Amino acid sequence: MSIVETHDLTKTFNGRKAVDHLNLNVEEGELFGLLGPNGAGKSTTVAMLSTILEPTHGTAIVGNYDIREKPKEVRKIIGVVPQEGSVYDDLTAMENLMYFGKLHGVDGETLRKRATKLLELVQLKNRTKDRVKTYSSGMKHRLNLAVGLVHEPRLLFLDEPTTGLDPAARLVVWEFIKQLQAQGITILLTTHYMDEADYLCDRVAFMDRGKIIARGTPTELKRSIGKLEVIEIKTPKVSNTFLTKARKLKGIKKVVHTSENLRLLTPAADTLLSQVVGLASETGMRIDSLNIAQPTLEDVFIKLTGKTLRD
Amino acid sequence: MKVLTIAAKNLRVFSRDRASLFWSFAFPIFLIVVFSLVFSGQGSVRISVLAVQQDHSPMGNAYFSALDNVLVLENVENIQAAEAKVLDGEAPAVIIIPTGFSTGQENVRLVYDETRGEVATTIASIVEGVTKGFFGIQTPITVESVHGEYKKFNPAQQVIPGIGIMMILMVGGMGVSERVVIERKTGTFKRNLLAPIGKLSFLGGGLLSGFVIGCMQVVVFFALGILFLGLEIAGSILLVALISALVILMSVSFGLIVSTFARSPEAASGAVNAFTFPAAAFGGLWFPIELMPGFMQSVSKVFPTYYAMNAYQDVIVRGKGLLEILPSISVLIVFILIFFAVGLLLFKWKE
Repeated sequence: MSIVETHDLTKTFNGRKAVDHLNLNVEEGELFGLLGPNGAGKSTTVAMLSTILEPTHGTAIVGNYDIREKPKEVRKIIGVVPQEGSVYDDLTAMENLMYFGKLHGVDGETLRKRATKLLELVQLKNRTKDRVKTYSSGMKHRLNLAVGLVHEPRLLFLDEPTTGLDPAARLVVWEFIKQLQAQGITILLTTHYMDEADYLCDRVAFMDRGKIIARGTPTELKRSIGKLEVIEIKTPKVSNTFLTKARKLKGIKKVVHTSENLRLLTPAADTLLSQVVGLASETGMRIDSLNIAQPTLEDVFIKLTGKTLRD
Repeated sequence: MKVLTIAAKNLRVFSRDRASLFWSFAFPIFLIVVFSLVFSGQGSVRISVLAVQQDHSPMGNAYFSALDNVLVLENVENIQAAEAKVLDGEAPAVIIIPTGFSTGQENVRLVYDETRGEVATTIASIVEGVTKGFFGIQTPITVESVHGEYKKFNPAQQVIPGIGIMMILMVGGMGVSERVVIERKTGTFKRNLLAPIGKLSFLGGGLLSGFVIGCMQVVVFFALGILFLGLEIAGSILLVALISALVILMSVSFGLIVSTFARSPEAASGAVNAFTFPAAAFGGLWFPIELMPGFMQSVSKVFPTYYAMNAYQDVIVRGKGLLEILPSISVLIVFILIFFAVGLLLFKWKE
């Protein structure tokens, strides 16, 4: 059963379509990832679904309520964890949870117990009485998550939940998200981290320029680009001559320069490996490491759009 | 050269900081202009005084003209009515030139309201000066002071309501507006927006907290006045509470308006100050408006602070009742309703 159904959901800003006739459904209990680069329309979609931004055209049904007609009812069943740490710095973690819990109609002992449990879950039990302004960014992120959950929503929107976190803090948040899903909460996650989506999501949809360009499980999407492998090259300086010549090599489907490495998509990585190394040496490009890997969701996006998710 | 680079950068940052520009230039310029106008000599400060002229002889008329050159004399026929007006606080003083004044049988009488403090003493010294200039050493003048409910002049009757109104306006205005601006900037506004509450709940909470802080200010200011500065309240304390409640409502509703257009806390405080200081100066919160030049006294009536100060002084100094202060508080209520209506209309309950 769908908990989110959008019908031609559209948002136009000054004549530019940020979200363009979006038709999407999220099933109850699943962890759905909305992936795309900055400006793809992910946050605008979440803002409309959470009723704080009015669609220009179309609508959506969230938990049986139309977002245009019953926004207050929608807000009762959803939880939103915005990207920025939207909590009061001058209040303590417990005071923040009590405040937002009360705004959602939770009260008394129920609220206190729930807040205590959440603070334990997000590993802030020892800092409940400290003002939030004394917290690290990782701690604020975790409190931000807890606040979105204090009224026990059926559907949780997570907007880039790990942006700005170090690898260890990201892992803590990932495990917490997994626990939430295990409790039956439906989660709509927006992210531009492909490893995050791959690890967490049951299904994902790629968004680009306001439109869904592909959707499916991470495995289905990776299969959809055919039997491709990736030659990953780490180099201190990318040579333009290398890029031009590599694109002309027979068997190379795509060459992409990401912020981390060079990615050459090919159906025959083994056979092309020696030619790639030869080309690097010929063009004077130093190779720090070379690796053959299975395609990631990022490679799927590259294949579909010709650009990386951080473009 | 690095010193110059750093200094140039600092000046660029300073020139883009509206609050710094306001406090560095606009505010001192405003204070200088206001104080210069107020204290620019007796010629420009024309205090209105009642006059009953019963001696129409050439000497009586010449004396009247001499006084009229330095004061604004308003002719009244009846002595009792004029004295009642002074006692009631409607006029600071009355000059009575009785029949027989020119023949030396009667003295001119100056009756002033001693609760007017600085204004009263200024009038007395002006009238005595003019009379001395006119008659020499033997001045045929009798000076009498009267007072209403209030026993004697106390600067606290000007300072407590005056500074009180100004600070309530400033704190209430800034408190409400900056809170909203900061919430919008830090993202907590979005979190409130995402809760199943409406615009009125959010604003109601903000205004109520501003109101409570204002009440605490009123208690502190008046407690200080009564306990340490000898302030006595001639009228009803409930009326003081009513006027205070209206002043606080005015401040928070004004803050609501500022919150609808200010985009940064600095802009919010700048906008609040830009209104508060003129409202304080022109509304008679810093010094009695009778000491201001005529045109400034006319401008006073544009500001709600003028009516708030009048209402406070009528109750505190002259012991007036609700019906008598009704005109002042009615104007104040109209201001509050307009502020609330504009604020609610312009406030955007969205990101």
